[in-house]
Amino acid sequence: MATAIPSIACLGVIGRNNNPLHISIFTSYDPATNSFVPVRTALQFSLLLSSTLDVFELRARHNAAGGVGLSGDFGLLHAVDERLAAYGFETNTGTKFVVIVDMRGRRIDGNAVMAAGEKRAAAAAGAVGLREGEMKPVFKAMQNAYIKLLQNPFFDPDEHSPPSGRGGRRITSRKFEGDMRRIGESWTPGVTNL
Amino acid sequence: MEQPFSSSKVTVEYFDPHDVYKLLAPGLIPRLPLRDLHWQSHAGPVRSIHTLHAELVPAGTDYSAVLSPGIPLNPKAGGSNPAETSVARDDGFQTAIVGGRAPSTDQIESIGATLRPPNAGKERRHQIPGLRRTPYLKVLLVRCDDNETYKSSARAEIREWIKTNTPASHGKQGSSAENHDAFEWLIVHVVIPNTVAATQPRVSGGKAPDSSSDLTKSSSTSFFRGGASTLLDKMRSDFNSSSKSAVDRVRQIRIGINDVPYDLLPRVVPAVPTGYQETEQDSENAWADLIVKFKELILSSFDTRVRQYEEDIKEREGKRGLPGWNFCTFFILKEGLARGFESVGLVEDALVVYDELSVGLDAIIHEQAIAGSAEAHGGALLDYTEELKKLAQRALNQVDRGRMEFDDEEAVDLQSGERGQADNFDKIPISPTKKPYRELILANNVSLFDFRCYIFARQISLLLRLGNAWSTREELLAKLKEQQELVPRGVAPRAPPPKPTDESENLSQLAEICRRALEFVPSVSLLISRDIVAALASARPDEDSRQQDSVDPVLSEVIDNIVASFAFSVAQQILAQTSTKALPIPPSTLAPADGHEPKASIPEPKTMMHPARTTSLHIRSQTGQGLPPRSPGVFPGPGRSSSPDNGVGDAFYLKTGLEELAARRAELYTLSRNILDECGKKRGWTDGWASVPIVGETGIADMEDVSLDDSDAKPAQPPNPDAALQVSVAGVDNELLRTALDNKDDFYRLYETLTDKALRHYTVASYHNSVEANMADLAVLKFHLGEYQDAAFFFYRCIPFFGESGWSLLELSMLIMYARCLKELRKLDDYVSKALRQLLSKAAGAERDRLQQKSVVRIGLMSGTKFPEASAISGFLGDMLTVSKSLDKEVRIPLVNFFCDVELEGTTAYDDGQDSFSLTLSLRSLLVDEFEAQKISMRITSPAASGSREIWLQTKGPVTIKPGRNKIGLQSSVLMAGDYQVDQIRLSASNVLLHYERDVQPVDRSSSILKNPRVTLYQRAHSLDVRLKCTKDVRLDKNNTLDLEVSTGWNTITSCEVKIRSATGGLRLLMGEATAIGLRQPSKRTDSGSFEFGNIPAESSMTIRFPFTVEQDVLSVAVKVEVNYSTDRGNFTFFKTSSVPISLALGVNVQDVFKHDALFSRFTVSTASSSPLRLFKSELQGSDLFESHFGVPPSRPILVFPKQPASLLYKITRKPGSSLGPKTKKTMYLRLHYSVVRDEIGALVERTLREDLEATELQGYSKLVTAKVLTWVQSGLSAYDLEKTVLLGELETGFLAEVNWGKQFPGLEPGGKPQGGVSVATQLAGFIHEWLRTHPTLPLPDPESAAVVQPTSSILIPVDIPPITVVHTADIWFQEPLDSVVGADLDTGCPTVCINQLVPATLHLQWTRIWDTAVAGGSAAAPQGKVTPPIRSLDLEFSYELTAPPDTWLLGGRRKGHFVIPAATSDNLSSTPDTEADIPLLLIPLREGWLPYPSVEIREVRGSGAAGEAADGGGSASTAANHGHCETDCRNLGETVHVIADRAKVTLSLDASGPGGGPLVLESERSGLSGGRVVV
Repeated sequence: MATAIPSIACLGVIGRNNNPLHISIFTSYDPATNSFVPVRTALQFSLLLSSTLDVFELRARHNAAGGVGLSGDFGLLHAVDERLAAYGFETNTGTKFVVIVDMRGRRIDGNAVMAAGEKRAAAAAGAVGLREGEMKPVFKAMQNAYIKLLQNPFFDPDEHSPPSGRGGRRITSRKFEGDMRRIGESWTPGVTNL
Repeated sequence: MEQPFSSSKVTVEYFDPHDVYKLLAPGLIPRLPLRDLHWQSHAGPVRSIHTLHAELVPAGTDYSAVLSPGIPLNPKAGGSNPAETSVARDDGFQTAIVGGRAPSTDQIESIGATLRPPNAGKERRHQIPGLRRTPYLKVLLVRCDDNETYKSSARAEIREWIKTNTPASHGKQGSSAENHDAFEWLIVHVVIPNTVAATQPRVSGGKAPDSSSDLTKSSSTSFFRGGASTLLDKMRSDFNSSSKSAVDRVRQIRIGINDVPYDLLPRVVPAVPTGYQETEQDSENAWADLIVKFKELILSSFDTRVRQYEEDIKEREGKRGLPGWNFCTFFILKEGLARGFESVGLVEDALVVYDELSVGLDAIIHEQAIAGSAEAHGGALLDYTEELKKLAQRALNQVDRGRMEFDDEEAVDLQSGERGQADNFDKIPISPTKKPYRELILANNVSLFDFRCYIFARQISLLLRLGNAWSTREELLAKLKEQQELVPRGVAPRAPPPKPTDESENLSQLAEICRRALEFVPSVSLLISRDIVAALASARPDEDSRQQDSVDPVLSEVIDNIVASFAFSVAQQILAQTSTKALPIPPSTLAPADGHEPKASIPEPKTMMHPARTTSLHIRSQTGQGLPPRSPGVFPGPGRSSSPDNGVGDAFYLKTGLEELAARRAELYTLSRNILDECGKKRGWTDGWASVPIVGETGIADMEDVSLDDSDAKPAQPPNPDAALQVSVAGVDNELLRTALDNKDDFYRLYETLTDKALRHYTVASYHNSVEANMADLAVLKFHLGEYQDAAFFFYRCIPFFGESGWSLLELSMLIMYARCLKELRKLDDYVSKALRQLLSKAAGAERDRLQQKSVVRIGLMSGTKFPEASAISGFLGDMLTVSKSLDKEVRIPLVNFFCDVELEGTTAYDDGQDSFSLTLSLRSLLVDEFEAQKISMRITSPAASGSREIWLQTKGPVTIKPGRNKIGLQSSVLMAGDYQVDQIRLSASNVLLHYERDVQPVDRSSSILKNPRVTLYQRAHSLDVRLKCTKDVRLDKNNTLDLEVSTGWNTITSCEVKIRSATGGLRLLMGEATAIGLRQPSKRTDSGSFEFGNIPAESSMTIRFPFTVEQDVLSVAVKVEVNYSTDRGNFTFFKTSSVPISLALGVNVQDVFKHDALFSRFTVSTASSSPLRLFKSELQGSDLFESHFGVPPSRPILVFPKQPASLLYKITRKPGSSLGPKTKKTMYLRLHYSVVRDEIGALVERTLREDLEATELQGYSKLVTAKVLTWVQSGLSAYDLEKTVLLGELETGFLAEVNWGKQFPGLEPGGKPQGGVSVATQLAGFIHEWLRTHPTLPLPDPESAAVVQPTSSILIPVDIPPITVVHTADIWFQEPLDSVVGADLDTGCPTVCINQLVPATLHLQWTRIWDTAVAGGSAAAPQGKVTPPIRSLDLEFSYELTAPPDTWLLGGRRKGHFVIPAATSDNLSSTPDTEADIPLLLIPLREGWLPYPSVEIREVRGSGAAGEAADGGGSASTAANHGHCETDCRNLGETVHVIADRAKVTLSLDASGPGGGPLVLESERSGLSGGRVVV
């Protein structure tokens, strides 16, 4: 029997002005049709991402009050339902990364390329559920991608998060998009480096 | 500790052989919750236990039975108390019985066997110590009425009891097992009134000594007093151990006489009363002492136990690495510690222990998973859970059956048949008492699922205690009350029952529960599915291989159902458990049940978030008891058995943790809703999102396919038959969920209810984003269900939110739906102005983004972001245009919303042969539909400050705007040269106006949407033109005039109107005096400066001349000219503002010298600018009175340089015979013909340039080029250049080469590369450079050559001859012959005289009045006055005075004198010899040398006449103050007399014998003038 393991269902980057900078949606395994489809529509993912902003705000406030939270990892933001859960990370410039994990997004045997060790680690994650630290590599990878994006001299951060505090454009970098896609597709529980 | 009540409970066992407990109880029970205990943990700070509940249990009872409801605690009072049923058998954690369902008895029975602790130490000890619940304290209640009884029986009894109950050696040396059950013991002597014991005094006044030394002392005193030791003393000495460290274990309580039931009261009062009376205080102290002792002993035994547990745990943990280590065993052990903590109320410590255990379990599982085998370490857990397996199998069966027979009935039957068991899972999935978990764990017979559930349940219950949840508190209160009720009736309690204090829940802890639940649900869901899969796999081992490969769809469906059901149940349970009155949730915005009536508006979030207390109460009373409010009917769920707010009082409004709790609960609601949603999805009942026109997914493109009006319409997703089979409720055990999934209406109702609840909770938590998200959910649902009114309302609220923060994708989809709603609702105005407009704008915006992204990212790579596809939005534009027609207001929409890449393409295109031009506007439509614009117009304005110059360009007719790039030709027949920028664009289609207006000051350049807005318009060589010139001939005494020349160019004009307006402040054009010069006269003219002309052929011109005045001196004036003319090709307009300098080019000064009969005027002509002048001709025109004479005119034109003015001298004489009359013209005019060299140069350059341009193809630009070059010529030439040019006669053009000509023609460059890829500007620049190269110098035309007709200017300067009343001429004559040594000075005419020679002379005074040209006083000075006649007609008296420096001349004769000049008559203007005066003088020169003549000064004598010394006849001296002045022409001025010494011969002595050592004049000889005398 295939073991369902978590996979990433959606990666979201939200700008300082709470505007979406980037949303990548990934497919999950659907046992009913034995195919890979996204679990929600893009709009629903958008809504989910937008809902997490409250938690960000709250945590940020708490962190500020408590003088902690330098790491920016906010952990589990939101259990959407028994399958989906949102994890969050906020950079010190206010850019937020949200990972929505589908707890049953993959089958362990469906992925033949995984090494045995990874498989077992993934299985463990499947057994225990995701731990706090599991998302760290994802956020780290996302942050790296974002930093790379920022290092692009043609990328104007103000265009995407205008200082006026309203709106902003989406990220249109192809490279960044590719990075997100790679992160979202290659992550499995237990992966320590993306 | 925060919570005022804790449910901690320790067992205190009492042995009551004398049945005195009932006497003791009334006093004891009210004091019972022990308060304020302080436990010093050996590791860590002092923990304080606020309250500790002690459970009094009679000895010998089965502990589990004691705790369980069945057995009455007190034979008398027990048995009939129904409240006791709620007391659970375990240790008081009854929070799980939310469902109102007590664990069934049989379960308890089954567990009871194992839970039963060894009775009286005889039973087998369990190997795991954590299981036992043994008393912490054993109390022996002794009734011993007198000493005799004590001696005879009581002492033995006590001994016996101690022997049986005390461990042989308690304390440190006890075994570990014993220490786990460590307890203390205490003897309480109950003294009944009316006994001997009661009369005995207290040994120490109620204060129990704690040390034996105290004891002995007090007993000795009692000996003295009573002669016999009291019973208490006896007991103490008997049973307290003698060692120093021993604890006092004896207490005495005296029961008051009123407290003892009558039948128990001994009737016989003992014979020997001691007189001792127990006081109230004493009794109180005794009780307090007892309680203190209780606490002390309980803590002591507790401490022993904890110590032992910790030691054990440490030891076990140390063995962790060893093989055979079993986690389950370890768990039970450690849990024992936790329970210990819990029982004394240290709930937090207990929770910590459980948390550690949970982590430990995780670690074990993790290790096992990594190791790959379950047996590896820590002991195996079961692969699956039996219950789940059964559940799954049942569900599978059900599905199978359903599939085979399609018989729903049976399925239902089957379900109901097994309901009893299913219920458990349904209502309270998480309860530590649901299964004998500990047993299972201990037996290593537990699945991971169960294990987790248990830990979670325990954590939750602990947290509930911490959070002081109502459920826990309720139960405690009940227990307390029940205890108090046990007190025998009729006996008043000694102490008043503690008042129920106001309870407040710890919301943060409740929130923590929710948080844990939120984490628990996903992880346990995973477990369930694995569990079931494993269970079924084990059941069908043969199918194992098949299962590996693919998941059975039925199975997965069942698993999904079970998981969903479980998760849903957990969420509901937690929600029920954490509901609190302290959480004010605003009332629902949803209408009850049917939900069709219009909703009231959602209250403002503000008021919801901070409700006044009364408001919150009000709300609560509205919603009734049920908090959380449950939906009627559908929500059978977690009701509470009793209403909580009866006795507890008002709920508190607690801010702490309130938001947190609200948020968590909201999340739980959302979780439930999402689960429901997922289940619904399988049945095709979508929440609406699936059918949302998700712009970006092409599949759902066509809106029309989705039937919106019909609420019955099944949304898309036609289920294939296979899928239909899979949909089943099998495995859904949650009743609520099952009901909801039963039919669609219920589903939507529950969905809506849950969403609404989440929404309201989020509102309280001020989770704005989530509120909006939920609102969006609701909106979409309503939309989906066809309730447009509500949907529109929700859309209206949440769309702006998403729009503002940039969630454009969401916004767009919702806008589409909103638009639909409004359309359905027939709100046309809103439909257009709000929805459509925004929708289209946003869609266009998204399209723009897409375009931008396209330019960055190559298509082909899958992009994560979706962009609106055409299909979803198509049709709206047409809608908008159609609907807008019905609106009475114009709909204005910024152009930017729909278009991008707006730019002017190419250069200005001029039409051949006519004066019109056109521009090409290129714009990219972002709309998906094409539409027809009726009119497109564009305004270009010139940034020049001088007035607003603007030109409108228009399309010729309607234009169809297609999606994508459009090019629109805009035309204008108005021409006005200059630089322009596009200022406005208007695009109107039906009633919609798309407009663009340039910011007056664009903030940054990138924000401007219009690229390349610059336009340069120029006049072509053959277009109609207007030139403004200053008139060549200037008359200084008249208004200056301007010439306006209109040249028609190539236009054959049929009619034409010229309007001339002033463009300079202060300039007034005197249009009334305007004249048309030349042949063509205007057919109609007005004074306001408008002239109309009829037919004018091409290539002709006409000139209008008009005078002007200026209010202040200005250098140049500007005039606006507008020419409206029509040709056979249409009507055209030409505007031009030209400016001309009006300052004079030259300046003239005049100097007059009056003579007796002539006036010499010298005119100095200088240039007014830095440019030299050529003066060709000058002419002084005579007047009626005067005529001028000039010498020989110069042969060549005179050059006037700035530092070298020209001087012209005219002699003016009065015309003979002219007479002065009032009409006589006296003014003469000086006419100068000149030319300014700078203008000459300009004309030269222009002419040459134009001639050269004619030869090239650039001739159309000649006006532009020459104008441009001329400005540089004008500004580039310095004074030095001009001077050089004039002197050399040729112009060096080198200075023009420095100009960057390429930049001089903006507006011609961009885009257009008409000829050979070289822009016009470049060509022009190239031409100029070439021209400069071929013309290094330009010869100035020879001013004299007749070939070049120089356009010389002329100026006519009026010259007034200043009126001089009288001109005197004074002349001194020497009398002839002058007696001179030298003789007559023939050569020089200079007389020579000797020093001291007497020279007779005559002063000759002449006068004339011919220069008195002043207008007769009658007319000029005083028009009516005959009072002051003209000076001319008066006699004037003058005085003369002859003066000379006293060292030059000695004057003799009449040096001063008066004379009168008679009034002038026509024939008597000048003096005649008769009227001239000759005054004899005698002059004596005093010095040698050339001596000037004495000077004559003539002055008018004023004042009334008598002052004159020698008035000849002047009585009528003029008194007129205003008479003119006089001039004196001294003819001797400048003449000298040569004076020489009168010596003929001189003899000198050359020695120094003269005076002062000088030479001595010995002798001199005079010349001896003949006729003269020399005065010595």
